[in-house]
Amino acid sequence: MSEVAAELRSSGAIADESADWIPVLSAIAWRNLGRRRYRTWMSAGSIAFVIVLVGCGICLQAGSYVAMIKRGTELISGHGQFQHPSWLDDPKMEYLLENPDELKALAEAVPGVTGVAVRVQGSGLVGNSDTPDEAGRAGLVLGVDPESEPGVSVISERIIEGRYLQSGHEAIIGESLARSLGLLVGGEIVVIGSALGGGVAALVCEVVGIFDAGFPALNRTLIQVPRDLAALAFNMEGQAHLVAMRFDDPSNSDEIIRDIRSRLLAAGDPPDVRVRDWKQVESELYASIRMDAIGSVFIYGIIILMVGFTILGSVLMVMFERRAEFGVLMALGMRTSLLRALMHLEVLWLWLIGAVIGLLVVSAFVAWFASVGIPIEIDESTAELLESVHLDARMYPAYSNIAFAWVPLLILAMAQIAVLFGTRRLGKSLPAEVLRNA
Amino acid sequence: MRGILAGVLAAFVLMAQAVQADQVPDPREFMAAIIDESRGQSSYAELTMIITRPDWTRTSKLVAWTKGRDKSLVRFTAPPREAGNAFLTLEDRIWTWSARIGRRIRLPTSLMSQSWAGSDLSYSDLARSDDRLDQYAFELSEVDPGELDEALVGGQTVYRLDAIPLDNAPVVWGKEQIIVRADYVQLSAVFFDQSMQPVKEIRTLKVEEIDGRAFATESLVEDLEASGNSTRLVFDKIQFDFDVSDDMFTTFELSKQFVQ
Repeated sequence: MSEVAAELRSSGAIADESADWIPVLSAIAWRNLGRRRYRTWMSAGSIAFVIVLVGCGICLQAGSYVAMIKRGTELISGHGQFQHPSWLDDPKMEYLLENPDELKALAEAVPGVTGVAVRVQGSGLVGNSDTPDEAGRAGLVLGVDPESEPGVSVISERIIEGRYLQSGHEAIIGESLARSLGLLVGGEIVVIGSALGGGVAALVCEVVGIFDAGFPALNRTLIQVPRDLAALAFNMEGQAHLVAMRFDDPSNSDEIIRDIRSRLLAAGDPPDVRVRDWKQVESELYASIRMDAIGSVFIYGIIILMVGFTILGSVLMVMFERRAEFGVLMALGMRTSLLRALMHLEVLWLWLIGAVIGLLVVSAFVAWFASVGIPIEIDESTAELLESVHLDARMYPAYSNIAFAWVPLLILAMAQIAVLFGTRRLGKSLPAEVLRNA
Repeated sequence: MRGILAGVLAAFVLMAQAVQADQVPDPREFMAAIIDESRGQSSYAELTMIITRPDWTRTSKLVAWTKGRDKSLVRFTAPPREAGNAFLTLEDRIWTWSARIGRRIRLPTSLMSQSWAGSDLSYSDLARSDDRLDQYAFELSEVDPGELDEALVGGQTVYRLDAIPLDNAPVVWGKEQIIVRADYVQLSAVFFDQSMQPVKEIRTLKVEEIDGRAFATESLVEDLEASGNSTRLVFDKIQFDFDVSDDMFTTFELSKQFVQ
């Protein structure tokens, strides 16, 4: 580009030796765009259209991922967990954390962690104390701290009868389990299972609440009781299976987990503790998001590639239309490097106009529909089904760096590559060729 | 063989029925004979159960009463934390009783394959086994006893009984392979999953003469999928044809407070 500057200086366009050449050439490029406004608006409009098309699509997809992550993590798993190293692959009762309350304190000090809950887990046969001759059911007992659990799990918000846990011999159970055992709020639930070390774990609790988690499997099996009660029954006092965490922004989980790991290292790196984020804990959810995203990369990639070729076509057309102009300029002594720089700047201006318009439209789309949602055309029974699993029959877009940064930059790169190709034919013979045909 | 603990003891009782055979019997009749032999029998036993896991070992003491093949009551007597916990089997129904909370629950059929009392035995091992005749096809062949422990064989003819579930049978196993003496003392039983991989083995470790009957007094149950997981059952005392009332096998008796 120093060659371009020298050219401008020698031609007298830049009087001052120290003056920057870019503003001058930019001004010429801008003026050139103004000379053919219709073509300029068409080109900028096509760039804006692609940014809107791809940007809105990506933001809708990002919104669906946010909803999937929220739904997949809000009931039980949270956005991160402390676990025994073997727990993830084989959640056996003996895979315990020895100092769960210390881990809780460590996590609570980490910026971005908004809730921490310690849990013990056991399983057993569950029955209604009043009907011991009716067949029981298999149940999953989750011992939780009633004060901190709502900071990680939304089960406490899904109580449909009674209330959430407080303390003592209390239990909340899923509505399917309650129905199958004939249990109501105020009834007595019995759990008999295997304790740590091979003994029999036994619990009897008053049902204080019935929840509808929105997941049939949880409604059918889950029983929450106070942690101290479960730990005593399952013979694991002072220990826990999980310390679950909720983050303010799950998309930031990598950074938060890194922070937690470094603090864990500073705290002596206990050997039987691993910290894992939702991508590991809910690996199937993460895999489905990745698969969907990879599929979309191809679709959006093809759209952007098509736009790239369209821009290349436009640039070639411009070059052809302006051959005479370029030929005359070159005959007057303008070098090809300067012409190429001019074309790059013209395309930069075009892109800028298109990108600003496109991103404004995408911003408005996201801002509006993120609050009101886009209704999905479904029949009444499907809507009821969605409602029963706490899913909204609306789509909510979300801001995405890919839509707002990477897509416009990719289009810019393709446009500039198109200019490189388009200006290849600005050879030294062009002035003679143009003058011959004049 | 599932009947190793059919009513914890019933299977041992029926295994003890000494019936010599000079030739390979009909496999189905052989199985039916095992079952028929146990009808009307009753017993009382005191057992020690040692559960071994890679990180711990737990020893429990139990007492058990059986009547016929479909009634049994098993009660833990030690350790103190478990004392009083009990299991009642009436035909294909099983109740579990927790002495600590004083409550009982009946087991649903869907959980019959779950671990019993934290051991390597399942609730199905406790339940009745005569329905096997309708659920399995049997193949019987003679086994060369030279391949087996001489002390366990005791000079008996030894058979291999392959029990293969019928197509629509509600059975979790792909196959059961039982090595059994002609006098019905079981020497081993291997349980295969649906892909015919062995998943559980019950081996007799000791055979003794009790009241003139050969009886497997010590057995080892091994989880073949989890290395280091096993359950050893040792009969400390066994009494056959014990006079026991039907009242012993009621939920009332199950729920009685245990007194050492």
